[in-house]
Amino acid sequence: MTSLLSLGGLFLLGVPISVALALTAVVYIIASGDAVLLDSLPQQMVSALDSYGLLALPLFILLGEAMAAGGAGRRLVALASAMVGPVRGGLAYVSLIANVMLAAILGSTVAQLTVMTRMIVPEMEKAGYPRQDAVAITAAGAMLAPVFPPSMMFILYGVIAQVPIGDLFVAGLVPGVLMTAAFFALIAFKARRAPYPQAAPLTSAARKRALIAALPSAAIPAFIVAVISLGLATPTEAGGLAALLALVLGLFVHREMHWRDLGPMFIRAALSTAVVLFLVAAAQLVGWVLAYANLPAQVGALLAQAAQSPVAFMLLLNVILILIGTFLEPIPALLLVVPVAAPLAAHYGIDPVHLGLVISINLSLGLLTPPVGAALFAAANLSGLSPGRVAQGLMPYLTAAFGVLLVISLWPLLT
Amino acid sequence: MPTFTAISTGFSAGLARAESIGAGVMIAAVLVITAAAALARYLGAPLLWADEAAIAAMIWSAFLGASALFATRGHMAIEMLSDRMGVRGGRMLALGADLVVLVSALGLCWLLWHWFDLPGLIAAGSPEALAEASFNYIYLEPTQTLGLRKVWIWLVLPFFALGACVHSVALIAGDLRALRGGERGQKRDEERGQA
Repeated sequence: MTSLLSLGGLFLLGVPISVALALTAVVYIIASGDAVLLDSLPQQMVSALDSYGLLALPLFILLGEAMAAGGAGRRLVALASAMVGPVRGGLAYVSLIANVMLAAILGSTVAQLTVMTRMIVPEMEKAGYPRQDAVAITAAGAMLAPVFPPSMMFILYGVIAQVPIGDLFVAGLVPGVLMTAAFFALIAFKARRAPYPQAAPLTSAARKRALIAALPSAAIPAFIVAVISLGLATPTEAGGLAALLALVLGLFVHREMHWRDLGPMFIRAALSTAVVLFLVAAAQLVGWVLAYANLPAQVGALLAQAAQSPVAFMLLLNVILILIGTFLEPIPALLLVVPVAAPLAAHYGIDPVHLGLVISINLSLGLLTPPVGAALFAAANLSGLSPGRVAQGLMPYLTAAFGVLLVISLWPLLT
Repeated sequence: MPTFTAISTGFSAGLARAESIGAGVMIAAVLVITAAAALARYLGAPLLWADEAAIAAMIWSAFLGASALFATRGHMAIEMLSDRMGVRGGRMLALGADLVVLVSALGLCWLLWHWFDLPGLIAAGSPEALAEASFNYIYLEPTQTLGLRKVWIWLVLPFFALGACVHSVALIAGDLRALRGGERGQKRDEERGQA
């Protein structure tokens, strides 16, 4: 109880979440009278990162940086425009398709939203879309980042729950396609009702040019999924090779990247990685004391009374995750929830890959829900709209996404 | 004469820059080692040491980067309350949060001082004698494939803890100065620090 109160207090004070987690573990250790455990604390922090699976994280972050610096976003938008053609609401579909392709490179909602909002929202506004709708469609597309492989959430879940990351990547494809289809249907409905402007037709020469220019960028995600699902490389190796390929493309093929860009790019990737890995190290301390206190078993006994079947457990878990995801960023939330939820799910006979998808997608949706959605605030900040207006525009898409989440929670066969 | 705020901010900015470069170099090493290992495995000559070396580079990168991030308040935090408390209230909260970071960093320094036990090592004369006298095997634990002692990986922790102390002291000095109303002075100090 003391630990929980201190965690809440530190969060409210604005202490970095990682430091708050580490201090909570310290408070628990001191309160439990086993101060000798403190001696192992530094070693526990390092051992949390001593994992081959975690190596995928910096490599995929680096891949995203290299692709963004090499102009992949712009090329993928051009390719999506070439694919859509002159239909009503064309740019809305372009935003969604480009988001799907970018989701297969970036793996982070906020990163993707930043790239896409800057790139496509001004274009949509110029074409006559209301800004609220343009931002909502683009932000909805960014929800796909943690669902399509490579997803940062899947990598972290795989490491904590000791589930093959490749299996999670492949399993994420079905929910990703379902969410995309739901968003397509919503856009089609709104395009007729609003109505949205019709996209200008492209000449076949322009389409060909866009296709050729975007082919290497679009090929990288296909390469990642292919080598992992065929068992030719581990997700870590696939991330390394794809990042190297992206650098070669940026430096020698597209020539939009210069040697002098490499240093700042590696530093940006290192700092983005450090935020997540330091959280992992701090959360390990909490997981360690939780296991020491046998908390998963205690929570399990409580939940066993409330949820009698796997379906009831999944529904209850989703409600708890929505509540947690509303106030806590997805990555720290995942790091806190998985050590408790994974043993319980195993008790109910739930497949750990299925559990990983449900937890990752559920918590990621929290990024776009008020009052603490980082992506919601990023979208509001970048577009100049109030967070309330962005949330209002997003409501139909969030409803559709939660609908898909419910479907995959109840029908594990889909994953 | 430069103020304490100017000196601490300047030192923190310089240290953060050095830490960021170090973290970036380590990430580049992770990329090179992982890609080389994948190719070598494909060619039928796997590099046995590669996984452990890449993980060691990632650990160094993570802790150097984590220290640098304290300088810019770059770690994830919940700012729900500070956003609603106005400028002065927000600064008070920031001061409180920075003090918590400093106390935590000092606490980690204390734990590391005990764990690395330099006075004990000097008194014992060798890592083996230290292990025999106190059961502290920190200087003896080997890596599996690198042919190095693990202490070379763990050595990043003192850098991290000391870096976090430096950055949080600089932030606290900036908070106090801003709270005293010297906002213009703070900006000038920061500019001097960056220069």
